[in-house]
Formats: sequence, C-alpha cells, structure tokens
Amino acid sequence: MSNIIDFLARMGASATLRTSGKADLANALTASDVEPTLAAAILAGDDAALRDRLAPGKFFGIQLDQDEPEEQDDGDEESSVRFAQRRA
Amino acid sequence: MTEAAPGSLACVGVGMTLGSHLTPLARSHIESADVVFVAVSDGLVEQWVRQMHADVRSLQGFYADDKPRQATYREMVDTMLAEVRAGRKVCGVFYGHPGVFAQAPHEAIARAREEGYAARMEPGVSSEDCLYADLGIDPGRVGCQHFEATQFMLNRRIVDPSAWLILWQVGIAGDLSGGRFETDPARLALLVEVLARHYPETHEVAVYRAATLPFQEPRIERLPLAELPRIALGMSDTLAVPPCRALEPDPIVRERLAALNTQT
Repeated sequence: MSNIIDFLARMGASATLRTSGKADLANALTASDVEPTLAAAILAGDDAALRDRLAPGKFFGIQLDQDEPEEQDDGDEESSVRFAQRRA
Repeated sequence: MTEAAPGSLACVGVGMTLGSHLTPLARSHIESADVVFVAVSDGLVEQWVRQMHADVRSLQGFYADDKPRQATYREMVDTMLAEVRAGRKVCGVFYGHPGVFAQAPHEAIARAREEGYAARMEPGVSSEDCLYADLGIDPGRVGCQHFEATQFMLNRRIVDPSAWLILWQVGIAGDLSGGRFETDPARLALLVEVLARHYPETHEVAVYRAATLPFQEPRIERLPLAELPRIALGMSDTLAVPPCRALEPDPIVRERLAALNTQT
C-alpha cells in the first residue's frame, strides 16, 4: 500500500513523471516496485480500478449549502453582510 | 501541577491533485499537530494524508446518503472542537482550499475563536485555480463571475453575459433537501432554463473537473447548453459558461477619462 501512495505522491510532485510517456512511466513504476496490477491501472489511467483496490467505498466531497438569509430587523446592510460571512 | 496547553485549530488544504499542490506550511501544520482530521473526496488522497501523521482521523463517517449535510458539518465541527477544548493542537485537512465551498472549516474556526482558542486557515490550491490553468481562462481578461449552482437557480442574480460565468456544485444543482449528492435531468433542465435567460441554448459550455490523481487528466467536456441535462455529472463537476457577447463600452466614462488624461 505505502509504496503505491509514495509513488503517486512522488509523481504528483515531479514534472518529469507527470509529463513522461507511458514507457518512462512504466520504467518508473517497475523501479519503484509497484505491484503489476496497480501499475497497469496507472498506465491505463484507470483511477476507478486503483480506488477499488486501495480505497473502496464512497467518498463524499465537503460542500457548501445554502441557508436562506434570516430577516434582518434593522435592515442594516452591513450586518447582513457580516451574517452572510459568518454563515459561509 | 502544570496547566494543560491551550488547544488550537489550523484548517489547511491539500490542493486538488495528490502530491502536486500541498504547501510546505500546510504540511508543517499536519506534521506538527497532536491530532489530524481529514475530509477529502478521494480515498487515495486520504491514504496519502495518513502517511503524514500517526493520528489521522477521517471525517468521512459523518456523511451518509439522504442525511442532511448541515448535520454532517455540525458533527465535523463538534468533533474537531472537542479535541481543541481538550487542549490539543488540531489540524483539519480538506481538499482544495479549505475555505472555498466548504462550510465546516469556516464554522470550526469561527467557533474556536469565539471560545478563545487560536484558530487559523491556510489557503490551498482550489478547483478554481486548476480551472483557470486547464481551461486557459484569465479572469482578468473579460471578468469572471462565480455562483453556487443551486443558489443561482433560487435567486434572481445579475448576470453579465460579457464575462465568464462559473457555476460550482453543479453536480448537486437544484437540491433543496440538503441531503442529496447528485442531481438529475429535471433539475438540470430547470438550470438550463434559468441560464437561457442570458445565453442561447446553442451556446457552448464546458463541464470541468480537476484531476485528483497525478496520472489523471482533468474532465473538460464541451457541449451546447441545451445538452446539459443529458450528461452525467458528479459531486466535483463545475460548469463554465463563456461570454456570449462583447464588452459594452461606456462612452461617457471613456470621454471623461480621456479629458482627465489631457489635463494631467
């Protein structure tokens, strides 16, 4: 597990790996001793296969939800802005 | 007897792409914390964060289909603040930028400060940043307006069709329940109707999603506006609408500026 995550982190930080062709990427995966089926998924750009193997299950993205603004008694625009910022 | 160290909270972002966007400061916050909470949208990214600290706790367990997201956010905030109140140095790790389209980090920081604890947010590379790079948009060229998709539908916004329009969270567009993590053709058809007040239905728009893993390409799918209800959209998708008309010059202001130019 850790060497595939290490490889992805290294790839993410490497201009060479991120722009290399498949042959160079395959060599780098072999050199990093990444398991052949996981290496094949990376070479095929198959992120779903990689997630199924290493991090199965649904992952949710944190979102921002809409609150209808409460009525402001004094109609003060500045306080309305502060309210919106606080709730954002 | 020594007094317990006061708790603190730092909310940081890991950026959009695993390994590419984490700032040295964000990494330092993660590594130096007593406890790390993580809310990222990809299990592999979560694994990556787990390698940075011995005590990383996922906030994913608070999400559930059909559970009100507001309840999820409250639980996330309460969980992080409980550790802060216990005197621990807490780091909340979120994907992208922790303060962009993310309710829990803002709320957690505000509440921690209200209770007298040190709390700060460190910026991360957001989906917006990636969008500019991947779609080749410079927001300074003709301007760029950003709205949350459901808010855009629910309210009459002033839209400038001579600038770019970016609609975030289009993958949950039209959700009034606060518990859905998807949209559907009927809601997207209504969104198209709202957009058609300002843009022709033949206008080409782009669905965009930043790459999460370094071997992935971003999703960039161009289509006529009217086709939007017929494609599959996910939680991380964004709609980018290019301008459909030229900038409209203001001759009066131009004349006045020209006059000032000749005087100075």
